[in-house]
Amino acid sequence: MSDLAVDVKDVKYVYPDGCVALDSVDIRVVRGERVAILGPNGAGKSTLLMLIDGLYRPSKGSVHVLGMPTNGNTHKVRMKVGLVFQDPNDQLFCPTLWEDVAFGPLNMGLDEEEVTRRAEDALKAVGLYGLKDKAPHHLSAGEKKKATIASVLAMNPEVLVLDEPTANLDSKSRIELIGLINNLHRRQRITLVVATHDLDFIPMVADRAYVLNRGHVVAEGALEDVFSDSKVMEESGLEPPTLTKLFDLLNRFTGFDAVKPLPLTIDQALHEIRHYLAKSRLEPQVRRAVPKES
Amino acid sequence: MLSSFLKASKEIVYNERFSLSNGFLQSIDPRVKVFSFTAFILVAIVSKSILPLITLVTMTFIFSIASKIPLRFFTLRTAFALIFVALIALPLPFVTPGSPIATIGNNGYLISITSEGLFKALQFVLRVWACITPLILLTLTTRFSSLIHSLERFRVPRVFTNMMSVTYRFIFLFIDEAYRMILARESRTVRGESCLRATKALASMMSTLFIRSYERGERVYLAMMARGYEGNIRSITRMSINGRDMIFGFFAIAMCMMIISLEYLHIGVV
Repeated sequence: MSDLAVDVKDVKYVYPDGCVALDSVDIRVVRGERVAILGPNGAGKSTLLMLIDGLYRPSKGSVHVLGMPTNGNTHKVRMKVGLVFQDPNDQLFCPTLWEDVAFGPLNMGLDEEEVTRRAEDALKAVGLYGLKDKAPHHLSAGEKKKATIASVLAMNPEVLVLDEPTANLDSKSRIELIGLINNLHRRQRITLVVATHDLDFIPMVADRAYVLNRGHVVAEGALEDVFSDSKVMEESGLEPPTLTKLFDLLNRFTGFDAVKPLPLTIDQALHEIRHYLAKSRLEPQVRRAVPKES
Repeated sequence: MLSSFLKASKEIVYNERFSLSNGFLQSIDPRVKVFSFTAFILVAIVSKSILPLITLVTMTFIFSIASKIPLRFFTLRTAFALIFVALIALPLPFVTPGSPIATIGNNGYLISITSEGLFKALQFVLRVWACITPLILLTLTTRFSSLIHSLERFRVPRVFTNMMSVTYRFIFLFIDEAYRMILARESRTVRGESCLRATKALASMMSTLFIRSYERGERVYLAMMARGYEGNIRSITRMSINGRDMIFGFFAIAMCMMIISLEYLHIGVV
């Protein structure tokens, strides 16, 4: 079996109206990896995800998922790839939450017992089991997002693809979402592909990134490297995470000397600061360099 | 004005307050309810005299009280539709031939109200009332999802039930979207505007709404395909009929039989 979960080779996608959404795109995601697709609005992120799920056919090139070409295997590919759409309202269309979650497993042709079990497990995994008989329009935005994740989890996907998962979420729902995604990754070794322009969020759910701009891959690599490439970031209209920017400024304008690559998460930043404080205790003259306000 | 109308319709369509309370009809199996209430409606359609219709309406009201639906609310809900029905029935007393009971006008031009016509108008209004009260009661006391499932059990084509449930799901978003557009417009309207301009604005709003719902439809379809949809929506339903349901069903059939026999034995002719 192929080691690659997703293999996009030299793909071009042209919309029926002639607009070229993607051109010569190459993306490789290894099984169990956490990969981010970054890019501004209209860069082609959503189109790429549709291609990975076999919903669109590439105009040129090929897309393989878990070793299978998406052309000709659409049903199988869609069973293995769980695509969470940006707007939960597009995905939840049944009268009750339970039916929405059971929709995927039912389409897989499983028997009733198995469908029930899977739907229950998925709802419990996202913490919505108590709301299973509610109508989707009575759920909050955060609950709806979790519900859409449950609706694809019930299909036991090997690749979880999320399109702008943090859109319209408040910070509590965001934190819950991050916990949920990482839990899935840890426990089930699920492969994650997350498309977003929310760069404060991405270090918590991805290790590697591709940057898309106007249909082309303009950068790829470890998050730290991608974020420190200020030229690409600026050209793609992306802003590095607040923390990275802060440490960059600290490095440049104070005596603070954070080790590159710059910290992306609070934990890394904390580590950096502790390290600095320990060092400054040894060399008292460094302490003066830290701005008083901070 | 428009925005408050939208809000009210949303409230009416989406209120599941009564269907989740623990009244009498709420505890009856939805299939039995659909069956019994369809029978009531059929009886209302074939009844020619007034007493059976009154019996039906009264019975429905008794059920609604047993189902803990406020009487005032239920009366207003059912009477609302009657306003339109009454408008349609208005000319009937004047145009139906028969024995006149009152005459308006002078020698040359006479308009008379006939007793047959009055009877016809009354019968028409009552019949419509007897048809809509069971329907309203059914939708008030049954969750929409169970209603759809029972229709599926009665072999209503899946295309139809799927369309109904998807429509029900998205009317809500549609209303919200329209509501936001109206608010956005109202917030930018400083002075009162002419009727013509308002109409034009409404027309462009409708076209925008149409395009948005078309696009939404496309995305929903893609999302369904992403989860393995291949042309028909399958579902699992767990419903069970117990003794209470059976008794209710038999009672309903017995009532219908009784009303029809009343009709044909000419006992209840008014």
